[in-house]
Amino acid sequence: MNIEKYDKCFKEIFGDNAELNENFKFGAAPGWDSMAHMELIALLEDTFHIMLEADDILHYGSYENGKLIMKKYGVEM
Amino acid sequence: MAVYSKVLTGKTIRMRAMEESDAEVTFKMRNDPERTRFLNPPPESVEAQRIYIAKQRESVDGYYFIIEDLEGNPIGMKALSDYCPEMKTVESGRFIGFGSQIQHIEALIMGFDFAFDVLGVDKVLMTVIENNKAMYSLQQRLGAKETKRVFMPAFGCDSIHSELNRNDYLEARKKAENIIERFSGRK
Repeated sequence: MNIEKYDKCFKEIFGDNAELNENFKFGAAPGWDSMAHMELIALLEDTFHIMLEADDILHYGSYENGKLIMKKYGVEM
Repeated sequence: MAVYSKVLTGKTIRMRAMEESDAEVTFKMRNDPERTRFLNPPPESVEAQRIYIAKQRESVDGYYFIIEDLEGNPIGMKALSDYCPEMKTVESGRFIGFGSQIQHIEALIMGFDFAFDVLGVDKVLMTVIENNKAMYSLQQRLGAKETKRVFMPAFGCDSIHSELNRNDYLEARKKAENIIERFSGRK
């Protein structure tokens, strides 16, 4: 299931205790800084075998919005 | 004068010394409510900002950079202040970024490289408002170690003081460099 793989990526970057919900956002979620952001993008790309465009990387921004961006690349949750 | 005359060039950005002619663009940057909510209040006018830049250029212990993308568009500013050659320390000062995450990472890396390699410091000192979680997290991720917390009445929370030494930085820098390498050419 894609959602399980998606969540696993977030947990790998932000820790098993990360509360993945609509409030999990850049700058608000503990540890979601610019470096973590890029590590997350790299892990998502490697996991789902996709390559995000610069604009989508820039606006990834949150756990929920990320699902919509992933959909653009054919990854349905 | 604490003005570094060379242009620092990275894979996604350039950094050059701030000039008085940058007053208007930096005034706009400093008045962006979202990007500056954890920083001290800005000057009241473009002219006040120009005077501020002129003063900083004449200071002996501060370095103020404009961050540009590789096309020369200004996308932020970065300061290094309170440089002390005797103590071999410098404070990682104000950072305001309007670029991508990669450009922001590279701007911080280039600022630290400047501190360690050009100024020759042993430690970079840094302070961040507790509520600025992203910057605090990034500082720690780049190897900084927290030293103390001081309550800031103006912000209603603590300021967190940290130190970064060269060895810790160089270790953390490798990961940042790999990320910049991977994503720098992304369109």
